[in-house]
Amino acid sequence: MDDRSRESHDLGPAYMRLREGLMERLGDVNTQTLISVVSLRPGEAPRLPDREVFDEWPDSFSRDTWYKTWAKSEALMGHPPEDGLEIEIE
Amino acid sequence: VSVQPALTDARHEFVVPTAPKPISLIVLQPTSLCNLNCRYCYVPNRRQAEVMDGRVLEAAIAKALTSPLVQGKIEFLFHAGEPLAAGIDFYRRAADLIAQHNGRNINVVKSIQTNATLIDDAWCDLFVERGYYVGVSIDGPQFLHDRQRVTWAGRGSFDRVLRGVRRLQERDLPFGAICVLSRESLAYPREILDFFVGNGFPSVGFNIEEVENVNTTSTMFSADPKEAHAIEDEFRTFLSRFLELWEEKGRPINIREIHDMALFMLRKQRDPTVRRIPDETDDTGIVTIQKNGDISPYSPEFAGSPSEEYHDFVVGNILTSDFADILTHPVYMKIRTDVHESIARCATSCSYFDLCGGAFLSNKFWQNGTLNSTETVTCRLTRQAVADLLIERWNCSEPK
Repeated sequence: MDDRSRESHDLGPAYMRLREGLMERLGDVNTQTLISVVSLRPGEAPRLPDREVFDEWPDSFSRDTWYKTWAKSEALMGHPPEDGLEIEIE
Repeated sequence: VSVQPALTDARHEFVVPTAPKPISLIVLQPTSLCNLNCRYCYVPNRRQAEVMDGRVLEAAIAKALTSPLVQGKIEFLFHAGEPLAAGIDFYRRAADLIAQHNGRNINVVKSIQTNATLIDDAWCDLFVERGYYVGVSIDGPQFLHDRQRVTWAGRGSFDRVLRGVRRLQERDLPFGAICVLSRESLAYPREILDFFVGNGFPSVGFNIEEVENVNTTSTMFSADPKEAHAIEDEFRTFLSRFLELWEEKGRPINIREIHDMALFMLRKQRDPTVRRIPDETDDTGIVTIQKNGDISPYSPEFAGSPSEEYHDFVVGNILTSDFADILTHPVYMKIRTDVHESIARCATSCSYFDLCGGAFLSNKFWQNGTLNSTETVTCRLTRQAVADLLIERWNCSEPK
C-alpha cells in the first residue's frame, strides 16, 4: 500500500467537506457487490466474495495504469507491488 | 539529486505528496509510423518511417535498469504510432538489452499496445518466447470499428484486426482490449457488449474520443454547453444500459472502468483516509521516451505535444541525461509545480477527487487550454459518470 495515499496531516476544510460528502454516498453502496466485482475472473469458476478475496488486492488501490493501454493490468496480475520502495534522495 | 520542497498552497491547503516513488512505467515510442489513419488519432507524424535508434533504445533500457528511480519492478510499454511497424528484430533487441542490463534482477514487464493488424505467427512467437504482453485497440463490432479505424486509403481495418486477435487466441496469449467510444457508439451498448463477449475477449477498457494534439475535434467534445450536456446524457444512458446488460449476462467480461471504480469504492469504504494516486499524476510515475530520445514526464500524451510554455514537455534526452536528472530539470519543475497546483484545485473543488486523483493531465492541457486546471470532459464521463452509476445501481439503503 502506498502510504502517501493515506494522509494524516491537515488537508484543509474544503477537501475534508468533499471527502465527508463522498463517504456519505459510498456508505450506501453494497459492499458485497463491490467485492464480487473486484474479484471477478471471467472464464474461471466464481470465487467466494469474502474478505480473503478482497485482501488479494490491497496494493492495487494506489496504482492506476495509464488508460491508453491495458497490457499492464494483465501483466502485473499476480505480481503485487512491493511495499516501502521509497527512493533515497541525497 | 535534490528535490523541490513540498508545495503548500495557502488558498487550497491541500498538499500533494512530494516523496518520489519509483518510476512504474516507461513508455517507449519506437516509431510514430502507423499503417492506419484512425480518424481520432492524436499522434503526429504517422507517415514518418523512422524507427528509434538502437543507441536510444539501449540508453533508455540500460539507464532505467541502473537508475535509483527504478526499484523492484518496471514496465516498458511500447506505444505510439503502430509499435509493430518497428519490426520484430527491434523487440528481440529490446528483450536482449533488458536481459543484458538487468543486473539488479528487477521485475521487468514488457508490453505492446497494438492495432493488431500486423500480428501473425512470427509475432506470436516473439510474444511467447520473449514474454511481451499485448494490448489490442479495437472499437467493437465492425460497423462501429470501421467508421473510425481506417487505413490511409480510407478502408476499414476490422477484418485485419480480428485476424490478429484470432492469432493471439489460438496461441492462448493473454491480452486486454482498448475500445474508443465515439458519440455514435453510444447508441449500441448491447452490440458492443455482445461483440467483446462473443469474440472471447477477457477484458476491455473504454476510452472516449478526445481532443488532443493533432486531433483537434471530437464527437464527444463540444464547446457549446447545451450540446456538451446532451453528449454527457447519452454517455450516461449508454453506460447504464451497458452495466444492466453486463449484469444480466452474469458479468461475463472484465470491464476496466467498472472494476477499477468498484475497487476504489471498496477501499474507500474500508478506510476513508485513502485516495487514488494515478501513476499519471505521480512525480516520475510515468516517463516517456520518444524515438529521438527526448524525455517527457507525467502523461505520455505530452510527448510530441507542442507547447511554448512547457518547452514541448521535453525534460532532457536519454542519450545525454540520466532519469534522475529529470528531477532537477527546470522544465520538469515548471510542469511539476502546475501539476501539483492542478491536483490541489481538484482536491478542493471536486467531490469525486478521492476516486479519481485529479488525473487526465493531458486532457486538462488540451481541453482546458492550461495544465493548471481541473475538470475535463474525460473525467466527467469516465470518472464522475461511472461513480454516479455504480453508487446509484448498487445502493443498498432503505428507501426513504
